[in-house]
Amino acid sequence: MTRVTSQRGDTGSGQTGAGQARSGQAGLGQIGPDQSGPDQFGPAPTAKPARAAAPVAAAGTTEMTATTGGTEMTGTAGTAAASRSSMAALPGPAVARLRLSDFRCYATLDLDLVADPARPVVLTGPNGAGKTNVLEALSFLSPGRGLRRARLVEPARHGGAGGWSVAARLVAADGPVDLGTGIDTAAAAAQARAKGPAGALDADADADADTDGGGDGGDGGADEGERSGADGSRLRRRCRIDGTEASGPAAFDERLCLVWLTPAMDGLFTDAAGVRRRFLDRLVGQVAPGHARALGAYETAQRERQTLLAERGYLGADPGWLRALEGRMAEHGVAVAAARLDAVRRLAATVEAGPETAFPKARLALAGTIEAALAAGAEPAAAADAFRARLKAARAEDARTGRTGCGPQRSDLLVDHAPKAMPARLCSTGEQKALLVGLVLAQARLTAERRGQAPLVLLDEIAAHLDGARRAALFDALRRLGGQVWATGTDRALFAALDGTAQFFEVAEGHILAAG
Amino acid sequence: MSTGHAPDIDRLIQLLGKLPGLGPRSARRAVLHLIKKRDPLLVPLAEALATVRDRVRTCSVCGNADTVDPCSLCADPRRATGTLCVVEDVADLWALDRSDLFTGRYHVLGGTLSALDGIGPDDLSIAPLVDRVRREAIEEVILALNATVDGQTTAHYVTERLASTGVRVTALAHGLPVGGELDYLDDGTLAAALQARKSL
Repeated sequence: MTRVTSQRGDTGSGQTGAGQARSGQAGLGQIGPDQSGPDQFGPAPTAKPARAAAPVAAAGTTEMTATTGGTEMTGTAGTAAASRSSMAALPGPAVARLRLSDFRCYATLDLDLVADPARPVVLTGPNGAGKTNVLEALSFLSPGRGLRRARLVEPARHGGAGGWSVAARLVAADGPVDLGTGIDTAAAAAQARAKGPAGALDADADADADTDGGGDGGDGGADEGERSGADGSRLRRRCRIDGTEASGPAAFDERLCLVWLTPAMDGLFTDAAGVRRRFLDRLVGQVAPGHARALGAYETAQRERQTLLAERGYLGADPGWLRALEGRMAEHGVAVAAARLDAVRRLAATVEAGPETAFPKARLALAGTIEAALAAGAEPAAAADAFRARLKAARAEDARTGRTGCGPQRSDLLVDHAPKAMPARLCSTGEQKALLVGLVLAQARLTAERRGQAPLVLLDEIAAHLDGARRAALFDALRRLGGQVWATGTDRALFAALDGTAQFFEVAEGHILAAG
Repeated sequence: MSTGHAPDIDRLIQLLGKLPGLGPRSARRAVLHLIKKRDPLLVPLAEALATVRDRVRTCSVCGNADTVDPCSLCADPRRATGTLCVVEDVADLWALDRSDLFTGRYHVLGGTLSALDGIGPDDLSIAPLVDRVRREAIEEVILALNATVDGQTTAHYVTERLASTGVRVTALAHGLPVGGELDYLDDGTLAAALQARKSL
């Protein structure tokens, strides 16, 4: 059964598809068993989703290279990951129901779906119809700022009250779970008042500036709130799991893993290093749960040190205070670097172990101060000492330039087109796209293997950019992955291969209609 | 809009509503309750407030809030155990002291180092702490600071400042909460617990 209810934002008039309009305001996590029709899911789960077993160190055959400052060092990536990737992870969670209120173009949206990972969801419709908004809504069910990297108030519908909410019921192998997120109307209004109309784009909110010295906690989860101008209170994304308030979006990570591919990622290989770092850190966070916290702590200490150097100058700053901050930076920086290094090695092994497909394999390396030391076999404590010494030596320079010259905030993920042995950024646009698809598929396989269940995959306008053979290869790879796919496209015909399995919807001007 | 009473009462409601944990609604209830219990509650409360207003001061030794200076903790000779517990603010001191587990004296820093908020060592009671350690025959300083980046930066800094005194500096353990289940711990706490493991 597929039932759709959506209400167009601008008119507010009920626009119904196959079903009947529901009441206007869907609150956070209001989907309850009593509302969702037959309770086919049985009792609430008591067990947490199983994580994959701890990593097994194995004799390596895959080499990974970390390059920094002209020196090159190699580490070995375990083959354990490779051999395990052939084992099927549990099917991932599938969406049984999605409800939006005041989200982007949707005043309300209520989608009932067949919660089956083998039944992809395909949204088709013209440009600007609101397809990506649905994917973005789902992307908020994970830590970070969603697939558009929006500020918290941005998704609120124009003409709405200022708040927004996304609620979804997911059905996983261990039972259903209700996830809800959004911001309260009252909190959003308070923030808007505090900032005033001109303050809507203040500097603090724009944490995605890719200045290397700036630090970016946006995806780290540790810096999710946005400080409002007046009273310093932070607007927070509320998160609910099974009707209970969760501490923050990081809590979603335990229930749902999301992997996405959007047109905005096309520049991954040519953009500034910060873009690749963000891609990497999101992936690392999915396989190493403490990563976001360590990154956030590192960035806090880094910003504090930089503030200290800027305000008091290199000579005026209290050396003891600087040493204390550099100690924090070293401790958390080594944790960040170690997690990244481990994730890149695993990703490289996953790529290596994957089948030869229409998507070329990438050769991955990690450039970075601490990463290089660790890759060369340095003990974490020694790497921390060395990093602390570098920071100390760089104080004058960092005070002068206003940015931290070395550290994990400068690291870069280096990607080569393996068959051509050519840096990805020098490849043709089409080859970059194919590499990117291959990399995201590897990310999906790695998270599936590490977490024991396949991720939910969001693909925005991907099919249109691939030729028929690659499109078929993509669908094939996704089917084997076992996670539910949500895809958008302007042309229904591109998804003909999914006829009979996919759930098709047509999106037009903020309405969604079931389409065969 | 009519409130049903004169501005005097409104003012009291507004002021009470500013207290932590109270809002306008609960403040109205509290005021109404005080009015009804004028003699047994309102009068003594007003007197108590006046007394505290006249006498409250910050202890010049430890930074505690009390009506005597030095505060009753610092004045108590039984608390001269040679152990000093360093806390961020008075709320932490009172929380620790309520537990009755710590029998020594305290030192309130008045915050944590935070370059972003413009709080530096001179804004905190760090120099007086070093003086106290030299003066008072202190054998151990326990740092009971929050397990945040700022708290730990401050702990690091204070430790360094105390190094010249030769005093033993310890910190509260981070890790498994009493009665906590491993299964429910976040990874950061688990890592801290693992790191701070001890022989049995």
